[in-house]
Amino acid sequence: MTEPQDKSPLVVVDGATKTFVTGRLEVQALRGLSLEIHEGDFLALVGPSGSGKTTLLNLIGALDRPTSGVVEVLGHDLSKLNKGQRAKLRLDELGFVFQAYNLVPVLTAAENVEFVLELQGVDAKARRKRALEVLAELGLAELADRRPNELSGGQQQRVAVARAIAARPKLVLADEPTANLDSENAEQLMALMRRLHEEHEVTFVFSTHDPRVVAHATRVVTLVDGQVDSDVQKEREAA
Amino acid sequence: MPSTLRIAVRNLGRNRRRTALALAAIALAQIAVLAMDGLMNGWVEASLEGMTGPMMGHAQIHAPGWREEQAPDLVIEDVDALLARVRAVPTVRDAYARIYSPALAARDVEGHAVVVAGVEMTAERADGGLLEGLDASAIPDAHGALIGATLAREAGIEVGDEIALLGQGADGSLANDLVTVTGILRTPLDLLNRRGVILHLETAQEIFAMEGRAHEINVRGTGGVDGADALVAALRRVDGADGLEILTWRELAPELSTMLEFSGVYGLVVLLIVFIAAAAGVANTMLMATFERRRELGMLLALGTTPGRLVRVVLSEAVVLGILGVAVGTICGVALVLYQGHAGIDPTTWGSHDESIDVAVNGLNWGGTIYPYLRAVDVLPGFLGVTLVSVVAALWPAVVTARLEPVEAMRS
Repeated sequence: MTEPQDKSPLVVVDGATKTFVTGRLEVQALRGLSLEIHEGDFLALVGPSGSGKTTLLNLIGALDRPTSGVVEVLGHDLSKLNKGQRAKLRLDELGFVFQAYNLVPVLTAAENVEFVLELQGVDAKARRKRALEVLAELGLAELADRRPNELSGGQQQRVAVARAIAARPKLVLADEPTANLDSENAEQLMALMRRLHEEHEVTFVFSTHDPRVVAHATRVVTLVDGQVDSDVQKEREAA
Repeated sequence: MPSTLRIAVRNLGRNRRRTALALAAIALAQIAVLAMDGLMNGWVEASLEGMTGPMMGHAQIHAPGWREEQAPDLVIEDVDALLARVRAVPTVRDAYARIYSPALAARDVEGHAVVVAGVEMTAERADGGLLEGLDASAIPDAHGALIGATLAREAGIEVGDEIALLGQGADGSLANDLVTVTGILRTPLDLLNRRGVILHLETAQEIFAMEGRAHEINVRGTGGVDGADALVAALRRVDGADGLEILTWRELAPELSTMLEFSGVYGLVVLLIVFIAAAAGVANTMLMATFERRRELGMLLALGTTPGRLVRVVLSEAVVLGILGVAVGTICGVALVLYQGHAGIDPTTWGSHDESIDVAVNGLNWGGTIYPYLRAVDVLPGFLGVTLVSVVAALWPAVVTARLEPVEAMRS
């Protein structure tokens, strides 16, 4: 069901396997999975629990290494990068939104957004300005000085999105970003990500179980037993 | 403030009870170090004061061999002239000629072993003299004597009694005379309390056939205990000192000098134990704090924080914790030592003794009040040491976390 793509791939996964060993037990999370992700994709990874969605996102995000096979992200073969180089790749080129434990609890919303910019070496004044701009764009200006425990789950995830895009990454990876949100907040978050995709041409890859979230995607990749079962380009449903 | 430091400082407020316990452990360690330092300083000072007090002085001049043999004929000749030249040395504060002769003293038929000390009574009433603080009216006449309080009690001697002294003269003759007890002496000098019979120098010279001679010139210098070496060097250049034995207090009591030096080693051992206790407290806190936040630290790694920076975040927390704890400990420790220094610590009040538990070593009593004090430099070892220990204790959990793959840390 894969349709031809004419855009250059940001990510190439070729025959990737990932095996986890726990004691004597070996679990094959990915079994020779191949996939290309292109600039401008708004891609939903779907599939049952244990199908390998999170494992694949971790490999693409340079958070882990494949047991075998090739994972190239933005032209970098991850197997050839050391820990520091992978950290730099994540910092400079990728944005992350996790399901939980997303924000540094002792930093305010603005400081959380600034954190990545500080890691990049942006000076204090410029990063503060950028953080407030992004928070304002996402409708969070009035929450800039609040700490995560003073924000709702939905607000925390929106701050996480703000942090993910603040450094203008080429690719944002989100692992079940709506899993801990109610329907209304999940819908708001997806609408936000969709707007950023459309207005700023940010490429998003997110895993989800939620059909309402899938409805926002322009490409849906279904994983089953660590392999791509289907890869469908589709028309986005109206927001 | 960089976020590394900001995160470190704010993390300390996340579990306030645990942070307070760690701070208390570190502060207590520093308090213990400072209290120990203060006590050692006070004890060493009191010890030096006692050692180099009236009996020993900062330096002594003798005829060669007198110290080993205590033979009556090993004397300093023409002592008055030599004493005058010694007193003229600029670095000499006080100098006293003395005679020490073993003798038998008897009020009736029973004899008691005593040490007859012939001293310049008027001069020795000054600070640092053997009769320091003695009232002028208590000075006996030419054939009067002062005797130690313990000796008087044990021998049943009272003021007004006449006692017979029997010893050996410097010329080998039998030395004997009758003296009248005019006063009972209570001094910090155990030797004098237990066995001392104090006579005028001239009287002792006459009894022991030592006219113009003495066994010892006891010298106190202007440079205190630390100036003893320079003092002795100056004394050796005095005319007439050739051939005499001139020694510093360290040479006169090497075992006590060593004991004082050893006290420094003892202090270091205590310091080490205290550091280990502090390290255990901080290590426990940092281990719990780090492992508890493993997912969060994994998230920081995932965002692109380098392992080195992550180690800095954890270490910064330990440094802030260490410095805060040591600062609190320093304030409390200094206050405690200041109070102790003001009030004094009297070891004789320890335990349930009704009587003094003074210890006598080399004829000196060691039972006086100790006044602990601190020098500015005493604060540093604890400050640097405890802070360093805090950092080292935090290093392991920091490195363990930084070595994890982000996904491993986040999954834990």
